[in-house]
Amino acid sequence: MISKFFYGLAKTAFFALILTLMLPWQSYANNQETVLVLKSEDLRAYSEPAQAFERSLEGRENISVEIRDIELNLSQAREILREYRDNPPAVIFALGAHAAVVAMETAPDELGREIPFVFASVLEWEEYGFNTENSTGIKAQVPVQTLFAQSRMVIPDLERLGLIYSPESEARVTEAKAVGEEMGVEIVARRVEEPAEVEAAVEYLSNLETDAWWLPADPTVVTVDNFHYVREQAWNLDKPLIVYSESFVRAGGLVSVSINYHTVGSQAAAVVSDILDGAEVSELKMAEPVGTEFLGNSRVASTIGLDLTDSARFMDRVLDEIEGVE
Amino acid sequence: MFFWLPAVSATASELILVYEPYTLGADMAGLVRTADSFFDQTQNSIEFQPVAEVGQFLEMLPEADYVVMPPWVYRQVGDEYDIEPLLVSERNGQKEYNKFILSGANGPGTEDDLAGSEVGMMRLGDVTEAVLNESFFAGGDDAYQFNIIDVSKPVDAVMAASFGQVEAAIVNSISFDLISEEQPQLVDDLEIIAESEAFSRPGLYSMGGSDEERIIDIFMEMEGSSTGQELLSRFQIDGWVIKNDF
Repeated sequence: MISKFFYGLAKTAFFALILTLMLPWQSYANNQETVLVLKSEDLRAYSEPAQAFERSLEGRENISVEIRDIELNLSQAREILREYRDNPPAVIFALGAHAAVVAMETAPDELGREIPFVFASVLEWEEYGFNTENSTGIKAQVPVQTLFAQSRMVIPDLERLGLIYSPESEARVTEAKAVGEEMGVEIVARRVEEPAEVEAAVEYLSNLETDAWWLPADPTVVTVDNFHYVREQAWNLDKPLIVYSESFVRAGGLVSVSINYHTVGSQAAAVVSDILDGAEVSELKMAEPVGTEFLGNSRVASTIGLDLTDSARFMDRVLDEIEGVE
Repeated sequence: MFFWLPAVSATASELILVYEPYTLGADMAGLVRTADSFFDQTQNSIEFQPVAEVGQFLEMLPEADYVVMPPWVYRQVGDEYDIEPLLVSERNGQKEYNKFILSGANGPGTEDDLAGSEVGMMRLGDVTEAVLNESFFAGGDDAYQFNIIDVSKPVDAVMAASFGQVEAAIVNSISFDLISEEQPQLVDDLEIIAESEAFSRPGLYSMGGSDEERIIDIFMEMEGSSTGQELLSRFQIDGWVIKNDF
């Protein structure tokens, strides 16, 4: 038994010696820093920025970008993080609210210390209480200023913009009114408390002089039935309808202005580069997203008597069909 | 982004591949309709295929008989594929364009102050920094000292600089002129702080097509018909001319 004990001790000492001899090599390998990209799940909103992020950092020496999907699963997130326990990433780029919360709450537990993180594609990020000493990010909504500027590429005389909103998009509407004042766009807004009030609000707007209608991302207002009603009324009045995603342009909106996932990845790479170069995270403010995905629908344009040929030069894509409409 | 649109006909004999990211805009379906209509009128069986992304363009290049592309792409791939320049496009009598560095209100005073800044532009693939260093920084390495924010269209770079989301933007004079004409308020607060040497405008190139003279004639006669003029307008040019010094 004793000889077995000493044999075990000798074996341990031998491996300790080998490990000690390997230290210089390990130290060399550690010059390579890892940036861990955590995607909340496998969606275009997360995959496209992740790829653009990786491509943007390709030219940087001694950086390896590793993209992992936590699949909306905390256990999965913990398992991924444990793989980095011995060699924690220099920075985490978190895509989506789940990944950002993991970076804030779970990463310090699993990795033994706080890791600076940059987040994107997190709606209402203010509600999560991210520590600004250790994190920063790219906002998830196109600035109103950009939205108005791009809308004017299609509707040059845009001066009065009608919209329907609920308390859920109150902040966005307040911002729109302030920006509108600076840019000469008057907001004609009708507030509703529940989806059933939208039809009456549309009737109200229909009787007012407006140059276009805007549907902000508001789950109370934009239900399937409500969207179809707003769309029909807009077409009947030859009113340009500005929406917030491709699916609504396919369904009959005139144009959509949304964030450009590729550019968000490129922007996040610039922020991470600054952190790797020694910038203090606390000094890096939340950034407005640069660029847009600006889509138009030429069939809708024809329906309301507009021609998109010239404004298409400023768009990313022009669709030529309306889903469900021959 | 990649557009694969139907060929003109099943018996199409020649493929004209088009990559011109700065001027063609987003209405690829409209562009193909106009081009099909024009080539039909000339009674030529030609497949006109625009692509919006350089990677896809390079992938399809070996299949093309003729190519419309910017000279900077020609300089990268011309030798490898034995490509011959045939024509260059012209607008307002100009066969050339420049690249500009635009500074926003809070941007750098000169191109030498760009280090550490965020600069919005459409990347040109892996050669972006090398092209910028050659164009603006006398072959130095300044372009590696700032962060390029890769946008999908020139107007995004201009807007971002105008609204203070980035310190500077890099666009070419073709895009800048278009934005200045149609959205002048976006360039009011921007200042051109550097201008590159002149580049040739996009051109028509041969990949060894069988009847170059005929294709040259078709392109040069574009301005003679209303459909041809519409096609030229979609390219934002006035016509095509022969130019030897590409």
